[in-house]
Amino acid sequence: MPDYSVYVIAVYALATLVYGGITLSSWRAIKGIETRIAQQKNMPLEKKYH
Amino acid sequence: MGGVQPVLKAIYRLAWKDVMADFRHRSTFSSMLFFSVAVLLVFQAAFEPDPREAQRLVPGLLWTTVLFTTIMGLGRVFQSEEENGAFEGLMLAPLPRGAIFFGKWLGNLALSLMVMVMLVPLTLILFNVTLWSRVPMLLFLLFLGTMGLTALGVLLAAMTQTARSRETLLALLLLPLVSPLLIAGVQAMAVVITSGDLSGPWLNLLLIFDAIYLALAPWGFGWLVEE
Amino acid sequence: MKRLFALNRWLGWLTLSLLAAALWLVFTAPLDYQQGNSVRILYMHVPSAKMALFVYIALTVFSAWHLWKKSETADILAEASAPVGAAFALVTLVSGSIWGKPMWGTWWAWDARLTSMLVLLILYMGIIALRNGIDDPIKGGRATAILAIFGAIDLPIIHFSVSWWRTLHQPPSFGQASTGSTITGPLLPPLVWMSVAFIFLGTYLVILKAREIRGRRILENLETERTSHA
Repeated sequence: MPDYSVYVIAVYALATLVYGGITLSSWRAIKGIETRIAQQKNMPLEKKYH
Repeated sequence: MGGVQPVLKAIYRLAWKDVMADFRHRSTFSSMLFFSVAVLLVFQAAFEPDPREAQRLVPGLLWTTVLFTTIMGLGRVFQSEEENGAFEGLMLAPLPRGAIFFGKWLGNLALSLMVMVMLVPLTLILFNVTLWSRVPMLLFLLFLGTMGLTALGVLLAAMTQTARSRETLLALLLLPLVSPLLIAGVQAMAVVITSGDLSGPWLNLLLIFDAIYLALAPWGFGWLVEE
Repeated sequence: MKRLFALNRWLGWLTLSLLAAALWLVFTAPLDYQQGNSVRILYMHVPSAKMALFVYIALTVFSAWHLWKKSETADILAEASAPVGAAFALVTLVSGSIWGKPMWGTWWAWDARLTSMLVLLILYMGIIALRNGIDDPIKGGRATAILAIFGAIDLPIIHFSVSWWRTLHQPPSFGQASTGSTITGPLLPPLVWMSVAFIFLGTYLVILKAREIRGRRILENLETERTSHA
């Protein structure tokens, strides 16, 4: 029985990269977007409509 | 009963207008024809088939050429409306949306079929294949395939008409969706060439594909242009 | 929708613990006497494949819902589903390929399952590209929804025609090997756990993406509102 460990490691590394990547990029994006929304909402009116 | 005939007439007039306008100004037809010849040239240069090989390659060759050529024609289906801003006007016409779809489809189908009528003999000449007795059957199969192909294609053309880089997008969306049609068309044509037999499961699959897309594409078009 | 986002934090933890448990099972399970270590690839491959299809079904439902009820929530969920489904399809294809090399001796075979999965991935990419390509978000949402529904109609036809094509040309030698139906007995629990964990993972990712997309739309609205007043 040959050892297939290399193939197994490759698959799990790839899956971690893809699923982890999509999660992390989404987290980062959400963090950025939600801070900017909060900034927009808290901006005083005269500044907001300038 | 008076409802059906005016609609059919409108479909026909819409298609006729497109075909005539194309002959006069836009010349999609001639660019499609010469594009298809260019594709044949590329195939010849890439594969250099001898006549025996060429005979085996003819189905795939014809269908790929037809597919690429049709995509080129489909990219222009709504172009004149888009340029003149006439799309809204077309949508305001007192017609069911399905009829507008069928008009556009019929015009495009007519142009594609005219290209094919010239393409088939050209292919046989350029690749030195002597299959002249099978030409009507080959054309019939291409006709069947093109019905479904352009039905789906006109819908996708409408979908992508306002998009950026729409011709690339159209090809990207159309090619995977028509892959069953391509498989069925190539297989049915291979059967026709080897045995001269115009029947069998692949022909049925072509018909099923046509039926599904001719029934559903007008419906999708209606949803798409709804305000 | 906000309540859903709050719930998603818990869903995230649940997914993480389920995944940890499933992975522990995967790496402690007994080895298959025929396939050895390589059976562990299937524990990743099969759940990913199921989720790639499952997310597409969800995408179709969201699309139909959006067309029918003009619901923005459905539109956001549909937009969120596409990249998640594409990720599942990508992992399915690459892991299948890596599994195929030692098992079949080849990276790729044009059988019905692989071909449909490839078309599914292209379709996901097409859906994403179509939405990005259209500037008007309402038109883009509607066009994407219709495309998704047509894709759902087309996928079974593709699967059927390719399997028919292959069976007429050559016996389906690989057919069943990639489904996991050969996995039985002590090899089954890790697969079941991974499948369950992946259902949670898919749901979590779609909701997460939905939160991102909703935020992006709100932000765009706020910014256009601001510039129009200036």
